[in-house]
Amino acid sequence: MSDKEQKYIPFSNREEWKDVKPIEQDDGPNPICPIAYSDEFKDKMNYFRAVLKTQDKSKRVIELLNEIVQENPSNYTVWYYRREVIKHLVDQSGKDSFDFDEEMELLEEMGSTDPKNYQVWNHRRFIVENYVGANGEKEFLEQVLQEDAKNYHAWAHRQWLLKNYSLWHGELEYVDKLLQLDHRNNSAWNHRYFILFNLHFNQQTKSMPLNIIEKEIEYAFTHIKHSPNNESPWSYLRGLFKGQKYSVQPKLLATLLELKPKYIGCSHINSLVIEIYQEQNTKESLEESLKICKILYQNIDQIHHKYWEFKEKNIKDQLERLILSQ
Amino acid sequence: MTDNQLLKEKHVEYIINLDKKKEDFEYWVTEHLRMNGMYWGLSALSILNSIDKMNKEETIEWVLSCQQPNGGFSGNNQHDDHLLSTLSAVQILLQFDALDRLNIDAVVDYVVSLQQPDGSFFGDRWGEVDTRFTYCAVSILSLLNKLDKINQDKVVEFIGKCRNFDGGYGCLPGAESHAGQTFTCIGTLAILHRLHEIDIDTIGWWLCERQLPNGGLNGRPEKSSDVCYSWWVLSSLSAIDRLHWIDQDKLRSYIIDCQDQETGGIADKPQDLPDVFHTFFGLCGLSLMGYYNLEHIDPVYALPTKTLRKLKHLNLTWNKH
Repeated sequence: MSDKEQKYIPFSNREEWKDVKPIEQDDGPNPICPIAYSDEFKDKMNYFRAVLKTQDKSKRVIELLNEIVQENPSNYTVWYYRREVIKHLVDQSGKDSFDFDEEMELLEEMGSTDPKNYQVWNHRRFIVENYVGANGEKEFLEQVLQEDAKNYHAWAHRQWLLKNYSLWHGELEYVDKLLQLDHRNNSAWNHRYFILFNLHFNQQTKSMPLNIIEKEIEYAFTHIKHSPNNESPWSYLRGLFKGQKYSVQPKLLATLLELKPKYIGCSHINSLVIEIYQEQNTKESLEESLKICKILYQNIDQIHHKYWEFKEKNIKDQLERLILSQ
Repeated sequence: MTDNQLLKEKHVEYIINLDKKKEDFEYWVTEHLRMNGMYWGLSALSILNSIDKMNKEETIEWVLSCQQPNGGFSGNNQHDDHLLSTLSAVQILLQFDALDRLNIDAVVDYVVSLQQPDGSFFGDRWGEVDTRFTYCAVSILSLLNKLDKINQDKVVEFIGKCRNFDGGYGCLPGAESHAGQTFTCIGTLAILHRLHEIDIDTIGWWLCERQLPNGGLNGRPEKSSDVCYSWWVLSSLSAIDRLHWIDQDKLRSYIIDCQDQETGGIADKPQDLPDVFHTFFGLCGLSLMGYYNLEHIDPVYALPTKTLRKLKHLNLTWNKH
């Protein structure tokens, strides 16, 4: 940092800025929470205020903005003005007059030092949408998600790309790769659902087609088998049946019952079995769920004992209603 | 720490001292969030029944000085306005009974201008969309009794699009479920009296599953526990009347273990350093569960119930206090 400070040349000493008169910040007479900016930053902002005032949109402004955003990437006005300058330059002299490779490099650099800054992502979307297109975006996102698999700006950008440029090809394989690396990556599970929902969900019947459900049950279980206590694939399984009954795919219950004796101590499998039994709504299935509830609150899921006790009462009521109706 | 003691005096002292640390690095890096910080600190004092320890007049003056010409509030003087800081400003003024000093029409115009055709809200004029901002907008307008100024059906429609297969909510349609976002969506629906339209038990179970064997709560599957979820998760459960689904004694012990015995304040995890954000949310959790005779906090508005009771136009159907 001190190295950088030594090299800093104030804008007043720069030849190409000689014609500009900087504008100092007006803090008012007696600021309660005065703001502590460095002299360097003040210098840049003084020139920025001047540029704003004269609406200078020449090429040199980009250089000034480069310095400012790198120091303070959250300043909205600076990003906004940057887009104004880019639009102006392209309008004036065509797309080739502006170095978009350099722009993407800057964004890449800033994206990796400050990956959760909305402004950086927003600017990126603007450049992609208006000038450079989606080429290379997936590769870039792959890098970002490699650093932090849960960065929600990166996921939101990816979902936007997929929908706007129909880049679905290879996406399931990508998610699969992430899940192979980490079965517990809930963001990746969410993304898998997003892909299938967009590609296959039947908007008329408000449900997922049966062939997809069948395939995905199999997929979820390949991960469950590695770590049965991982909540994500269990939620995923439930999500597949959104809008329809578990009974449309009896294979699910069959698989659960086959695995259940092996998964002693796994609350998720037991909880899903209870749900399916409740849906079946027979005397046998409800009695069996009551037994499972007891096991859950007495042994394997004590931390959620209040919930399982509630559920037990619920099922008892259901059973009573059933007997009365027969 | 085994005796479950809440260090009330120390927490009060910790919060009051925060504003005196103007030489601290942390004070300056959080400068643009000062409005949120002020709300967290002040509301924590409210829960501890010590709001009179704050300099009321100076705080009101400072808050009012952050209102921008467009009606929104910035996080500090000379910063940009945002819905997040605007909500905090309204919440602070309300607790000081000073709403009459606020230019309400300007705030309402500001909030209304940020609603988008799909029902969502920008956080400020630069266009970021997030369910957090929807909550801020709806909460502000309802506190000011101006909900009729926006399209509420569109709001509910947008929130519906952010609901995921696991029952939870994300920041945008398609985005992963997160307990913080779930709070903002449930809170929005509660304020608009539209909670009956969702499947309460599915989201209730997802929220309940956030409790880990150590008693603490996490915000997403497979993440570790953090005191702030004592607010995001508990308030949501409370709004849907499912607070009794979690093990409250264990959660209390977890929060108590996160107290700093020496300086006061509550941290995100046991042994970590405290901060005002986690202090507030830890106290909120304890208040919601009814421990230690704390002032009751409303799970939807994140304001003391007694403050809200003064606003006759509000109908707090979820709050029995």
